[in-house]
Amino acid sequence: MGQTTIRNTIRALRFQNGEMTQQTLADRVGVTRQTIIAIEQGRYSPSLEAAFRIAAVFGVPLEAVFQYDGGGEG
Amino acid sequence: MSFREKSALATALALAFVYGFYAWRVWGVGVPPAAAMPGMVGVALAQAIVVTAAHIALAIHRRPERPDERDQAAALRGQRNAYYVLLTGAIGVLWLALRGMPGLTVAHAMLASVVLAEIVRHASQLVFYRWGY
Repeated sequence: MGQTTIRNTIRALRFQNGEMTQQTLADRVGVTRQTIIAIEQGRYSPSLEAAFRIAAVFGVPLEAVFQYDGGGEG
Repeated sequence: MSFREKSALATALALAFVYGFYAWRVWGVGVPPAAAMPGMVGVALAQAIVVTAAHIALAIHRRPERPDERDQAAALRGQRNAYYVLLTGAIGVLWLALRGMPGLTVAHAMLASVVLAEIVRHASQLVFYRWGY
């Protein structure tokens, strides 16, 4: 599978925020539910703007939602 | 499966089926060249009708959502991969023309390049949607 090197905690954050549905999150971010599913499963890395919007929905900093696994590079 | 995934699948299948049928008629059955040319127009119309009907049925079954950034990324991925196929096909068509092959053969090679590129475009979108590649 085309897993990205970016992990995320969206699923946990959704449940911590009143068991927010994927559709609700998608509507608030401005993407489709399929895209939220793909991001949660690590099949798609969102744009920087979408990533910030997701963090803003949960009211947390970006790094609380997304973590980069390739930290040893560069 | 989203509307756009189903759309890509339906279009790829319609292309493969309709143009596969045409290829079978021309090379399998051996339709004469004079009859093959009008057949090309007919097959293009048939493909357009099949794809339109499939999209109407899909839209009735599930209302299409507005495309988002992932849909645009899938479209770009498909177009990039299709470009390689089309470019290779164009070089092949040029090679056939320079070798003095009959006009119908060159036309068929051109048609095959376009159809293969379109199939690759939609298949690439499906792969991106399903597995993220």
